[in-house]
Amino acid sequence: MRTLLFRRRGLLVVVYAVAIVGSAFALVPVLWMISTALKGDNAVFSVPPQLVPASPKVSNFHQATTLIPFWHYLRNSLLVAGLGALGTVFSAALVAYPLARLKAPGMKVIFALVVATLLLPQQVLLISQFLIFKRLGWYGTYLPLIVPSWLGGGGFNVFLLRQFFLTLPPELDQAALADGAGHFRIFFRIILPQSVPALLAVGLLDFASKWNDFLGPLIYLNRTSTYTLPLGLASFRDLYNTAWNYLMAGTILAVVPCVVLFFLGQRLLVRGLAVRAKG
Amino acid sequence: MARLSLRGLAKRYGTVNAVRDVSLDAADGEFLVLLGPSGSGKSTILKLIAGIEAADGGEIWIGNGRVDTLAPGYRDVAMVFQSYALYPHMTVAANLAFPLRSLRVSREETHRRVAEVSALLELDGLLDRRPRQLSGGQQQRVALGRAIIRRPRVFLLDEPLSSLDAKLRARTRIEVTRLHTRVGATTVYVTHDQVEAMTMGDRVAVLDDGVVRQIDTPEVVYEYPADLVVADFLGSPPMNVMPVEARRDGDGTRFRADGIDLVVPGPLTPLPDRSALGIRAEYLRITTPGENGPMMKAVVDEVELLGSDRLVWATVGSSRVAVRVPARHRVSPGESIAIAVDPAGIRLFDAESGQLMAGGKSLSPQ
Repeated sequence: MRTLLFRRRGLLVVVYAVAIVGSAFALVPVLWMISTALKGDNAVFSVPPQLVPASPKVSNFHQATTLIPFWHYLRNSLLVAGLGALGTVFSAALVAYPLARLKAPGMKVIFALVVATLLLPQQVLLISQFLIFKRLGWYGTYLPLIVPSWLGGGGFNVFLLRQFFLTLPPELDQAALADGAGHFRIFFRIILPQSVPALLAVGLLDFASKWNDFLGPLIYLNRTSTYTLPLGLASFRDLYNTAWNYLMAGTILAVVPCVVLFFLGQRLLVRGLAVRAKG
Repeated sequence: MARLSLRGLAKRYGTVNAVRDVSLDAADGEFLVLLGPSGSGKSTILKLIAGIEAADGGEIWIGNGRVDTLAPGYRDVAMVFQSYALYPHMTVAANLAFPLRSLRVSREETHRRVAEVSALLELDGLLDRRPRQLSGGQQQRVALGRAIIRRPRVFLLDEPLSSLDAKLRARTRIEVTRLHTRVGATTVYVTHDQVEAMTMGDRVAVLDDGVVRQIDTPEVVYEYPADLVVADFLGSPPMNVMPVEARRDGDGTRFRADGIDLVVPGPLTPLPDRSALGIRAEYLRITTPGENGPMMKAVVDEVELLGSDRLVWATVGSSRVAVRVPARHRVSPGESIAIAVDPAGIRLFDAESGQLMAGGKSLSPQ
């Protein structure tokens, strides 16, 4: 009994140690970002490094939003990430439903193919995708950043939602079927309303990844007025100088919408993600 | 008008034949019970009728139309599930209205019918609640309501009472029967509960291993099981079955086996080579000394008190039989007794095929 207690306590110590070290890895850069955002131009690279700046410059935040058209970029980002995430949620769910419910021959093969696309590195697709979108005349527009999300939502999201749909009792679909509902009605009225946590999880994760996406906008957007935040903030860096303090201040502001969304959806998000562990 | 006909229905899951060549008819307004152990294919038959599963063979007719080729919504069939399958994210009112919305019934008509059904099933005060805020009995009534609101031609119930507690089950049994009388739709009711089958069904179809073994009124199914499988499944305790040698004996028939030598009046033809004598526990009696008539010598193994009755398990030769006696009749294990046989209860089966001999019935007083 004592040894068991001791062992359990020893285990706790290890768990906490790992957790503390892990969170330090995640948090130190954030602290450093906040610290830098408050420093004057000369204090950024002061030696020895200061974590708490001697004279915090809150005006950096004002500079960050006025030196570049910050709010305009924010609007562009909201447009791209918002419409993209919406498309991902909708189309991934639409693909996941038959994969979870229909018993047509070949379903397993299709599902395996969808999951197999996860193994493909994005970089491999980059050039061919670019050529396709250029041929379509979409170069320089938001379409290459938004439309693909509406065409399936990606293998990972399809997988996540399918696993969630499998946890819903099939009797409900069967009852709806017997009650005269078609597949679309079952999908919209029975499946989706019960899947809000999973849909939210997929939506939030996808929103965050599109919000932070740098490469996509960099490739497809060619006018500064259409830039999203990550691209816009990059203009604080140029060939010879980087305004680290403004860049960090802008980055903090750019992170705010995502953080707010995550806190709002946190409880549902955990429930949605827990399903993946079961799958 | 809404007679239900199944013709040669078959369904396979992989290599398992869940339903094989099932043909049966339910007359308009009939309450037909499908009774069988779990895995006998009874629920699958319901799903085939409802269109939730597609049949691998056979036809389903409702009225004068073949429906197995139609989508579920067009079959005019409503189903109540064992788990109720209420939509958890919808209110009771929305649950009731769902089938009508699917069938594009007008808003006013939907409203009217929801009010009508909720009044009938005493759900008035609950319309704004969600299923998880309801008791088991209330959920059950919502599930019934969602089925009858469509006014279907055929009503399918899949063990609807099995998740209720014993007391509520007995009450709901009566309610369902009453509802059927009011609604009057042809009803197919699946259960593994014999009491439900006996009390509710106009007729009972006994299923085993995907095959209909017998379909008849509850009385006939209980008294004259079509074969040994039905005899063994139905009744608690099941029918006593003893392998015997049956011979004509003057005007009567003589059954002999180890420990058994019975002569009963009435000839039996044809007599199978190897027979099995079946008799229910209530046709057996422990004799008082000096009694005459057909009887068997036995040794008591166990005695179970069932309240009003006592069930005496005894060994006769190489067979074990159950005898139902009044509770006041005391016997103890190890006691030697003589068991009197009421000839009216004797059924004769062909031990090879298990079928009830046609002559088996003729032994009973007409």
